Amino acid sequence: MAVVVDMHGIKKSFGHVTALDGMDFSVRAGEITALVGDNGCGKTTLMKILGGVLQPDAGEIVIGGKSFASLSVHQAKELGVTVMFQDLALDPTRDTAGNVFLGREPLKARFWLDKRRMREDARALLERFSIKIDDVETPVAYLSGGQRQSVALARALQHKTPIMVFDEPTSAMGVAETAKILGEIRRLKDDGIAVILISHNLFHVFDLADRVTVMALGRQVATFDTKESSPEALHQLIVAGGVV
Amino acid sequence: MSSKETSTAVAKPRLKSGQQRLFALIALIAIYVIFAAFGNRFFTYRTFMNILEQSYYIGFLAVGVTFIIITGGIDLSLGTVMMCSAMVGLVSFGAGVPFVLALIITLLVGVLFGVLNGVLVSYLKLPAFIATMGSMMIALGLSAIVSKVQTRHFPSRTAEVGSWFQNVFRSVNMDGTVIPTGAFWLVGLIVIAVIVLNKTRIGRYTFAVGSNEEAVRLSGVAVEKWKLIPYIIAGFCTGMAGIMYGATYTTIIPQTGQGEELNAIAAVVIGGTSLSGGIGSITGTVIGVFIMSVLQVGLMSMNVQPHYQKVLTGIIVIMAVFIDIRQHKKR
Repeated sequence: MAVVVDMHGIKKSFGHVTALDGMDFSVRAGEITALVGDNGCGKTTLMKILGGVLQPDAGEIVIGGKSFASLSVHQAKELGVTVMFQDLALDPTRDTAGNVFLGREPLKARFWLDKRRMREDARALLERFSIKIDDVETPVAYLSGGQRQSVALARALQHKTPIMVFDEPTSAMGVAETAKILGEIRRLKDDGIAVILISHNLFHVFDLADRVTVMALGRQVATFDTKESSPEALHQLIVAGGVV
Repeated sequence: MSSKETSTAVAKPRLKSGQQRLFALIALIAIYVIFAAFGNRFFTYRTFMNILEQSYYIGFLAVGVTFIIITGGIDLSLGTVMMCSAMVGLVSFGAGVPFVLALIITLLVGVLFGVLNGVLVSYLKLPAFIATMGSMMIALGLSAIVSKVQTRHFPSRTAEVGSWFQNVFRSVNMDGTVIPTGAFWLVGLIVIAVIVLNKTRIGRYTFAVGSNEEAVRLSGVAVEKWKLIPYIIAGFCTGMAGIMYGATYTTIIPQTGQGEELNAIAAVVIGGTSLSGGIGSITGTVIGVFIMSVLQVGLMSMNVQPHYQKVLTGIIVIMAVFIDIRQHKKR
């Protein structure tokens, strides 16, 4: 399958702290690639660079054959990168429907917000993912952690883009919602979408992913097919920081 | 967390942004009733007209700065830019520019200052407080330079050129009845501002930037552009305020206007717009403007010195900010 994202030698430091130290990472269309590693190994930083939120100090990002030294959020969006961030990126004072469509609001006559459509589509979307939020006009500030995560997921999943990143997508969710969301992510792969999954839940990783890239200290320490390994072996690899 | 847990915390009440607005409305009615009962000839059409006229230019300033405050910003240049805009318009009029064009120049100067403030804050990332304080000083100096430190006057009702000005922007006397034409402009602005703030993407991102700028950025929205627009809107409103001020008071004195921005900001805060950003309304601001105008005119009707009005306004602003902070903590 075609490689749609290729990140070479990505470096990123925050003051004296090195978050990424020459990280290499690639993703193929129609595959789920899990990105795993201990806390602070640089997974989220790498995905923020892919999503254009952070700019790397060095390295190259190749998306769809085009090479970039860095991306802006807008550029990443144009290139078809959708990221569901761990910190969810929600507007607490806005209602659920407003958050689901934040940045992609439907318009009437190219000017007026189509609030009715936003509400109706948000309701349908939440229903599709079995997300229980009784009123889509409830401000996000009043939702539980799991519900907020569901809103962020619904936003990410509403428009399928060629490259989709999920950073700990189900960490605050209940069992039923988790199963539903994992099913949705699996379906993305069937649609030919390149999916990147960051998760500490190795059983989810092995359940969903085709390939796993293991990170430690801002570098790639291993990449392998999930068929060739086991959660236990992966666990050992993460704990040892790649030195097994 | 179980699925039951994630599905229970629903249908809680809406954010209490309207609560402070309601308090403000009740306060406005109460103040009006008190002055009507105890003031000297307060409950008359003439006094009502006086209240309206007091509200024109502050109304325009306040509606404009509401957009900025909702983004979490501030504009300290409003008052001096209002006077500077009016002064530049008047000087160009004095130099032979047709009066209508001079009014357009007044508007343009306001818009240009809005663009300057917006670029400084959104693209160059300067703190709004510092950036607009700089603009305030520029406007102060500019009004003195262009006018050569001389007072200028807008046309009166008997002027050879522009005698229509006060009729159009202040009031017109029709068979003994004074029609407040300035109020029509203010109502027009309020209607447009309410629509823009609630029905368009400009309003949506104005609120969102004030509430969680990072979330908006992560959603792929060009935050800088949407932070700039409220400053341009406020600049336009400031230019209009210059025209309304000219229609009401006629005389423009160079290097004045300082303090008017604080009156406008006070009205916005009294009306329930949060200085922390993300929450606010035009209707609340309008209520805030009228509270201040009613206080000013009402206290005069009770022969209370204007200094007391400032003390009272200060107390009300402190109370409004206190309520805002309390509500912010609850969120």
